[in-house]
Amino acid sequence: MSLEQFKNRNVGIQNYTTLDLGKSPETGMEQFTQVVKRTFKGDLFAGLGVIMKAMLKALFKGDMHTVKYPFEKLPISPRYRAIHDMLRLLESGNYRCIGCGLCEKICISNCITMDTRYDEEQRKEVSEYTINFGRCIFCGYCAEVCPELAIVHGGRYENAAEQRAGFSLFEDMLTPIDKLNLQQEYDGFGAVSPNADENIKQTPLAY
Amino acid sequence: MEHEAEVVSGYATEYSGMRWGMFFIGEYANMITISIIAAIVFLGGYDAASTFGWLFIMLKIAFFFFLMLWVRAAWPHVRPDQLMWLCWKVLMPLALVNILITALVILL
Repeated sequence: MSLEQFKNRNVGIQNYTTLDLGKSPETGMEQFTQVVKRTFKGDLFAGLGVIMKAMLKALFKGDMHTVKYPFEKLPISPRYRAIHDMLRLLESGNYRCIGCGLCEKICISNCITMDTRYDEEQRKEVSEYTINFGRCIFCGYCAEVCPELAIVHGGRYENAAEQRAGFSLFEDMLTPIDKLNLQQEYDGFGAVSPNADENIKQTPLAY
Repeated sequence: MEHEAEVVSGYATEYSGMRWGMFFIGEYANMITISIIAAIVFLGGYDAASTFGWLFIMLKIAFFFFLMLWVRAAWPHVRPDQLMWLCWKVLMPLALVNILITALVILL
């Protein structure tokens, strides 16, 4: 949609056509002729035709408005707060978490548990990190407070699982090392969704 | 009156899972049965002598089934007064005319 079209706010006025309803019948004979006329006009079949056209367009011209959900997904907004992701440094492949413990402190539902220790090079390493997703309210404070952008909210919103332990361990949330090149950088708070351009519609204002 | 196109479609909102599924299995079984009966009664039914009799009755049944889905998609919620208008003032006179024409054909 070009800017010129977008600036034209008067949608609605120029597309209105007044319906010619004719005059309403007064005598019984006029009412009868109106019913007979409507009987043989076949307006109901026009409605069927519209639906048939829409169906053929959807099936054969790819103008489908629905999404086959488990196989296709709509892009979600980067602001969406789904299951957390633990990101890695792109250069070295190490996890970004420095074990500062801010996320554990700020977590208002006390669902983050972490343990750190000094490794042999006297660097802090995360020995244990779990998020109890039974308690997590997905407020996003942990991601907001993280100084290294190590913990972010990912796009995994299908939370049904057979075992709740499945996605709460550090290793489960960490980007797999072989998929490091596919790691998505967090866009930041306030980022627009990837299909934001398509979602823009003219507001039908008629003043 | 069933309001399928609306968010609250009557009792269907009060059920989920398989209980909801049972209602719809029932409805669709009903639709399939009606399609078969309509194909037999109105469209000539099954021709055992023809090679492709099985195929044609399948197509007839499919036509009636599709017709129901088509009508439901085209007019999701016909207002009761419009339905009354259609049935009493349009379909009923047409059916009477149909009876008259059939009687004339039999007479002659």
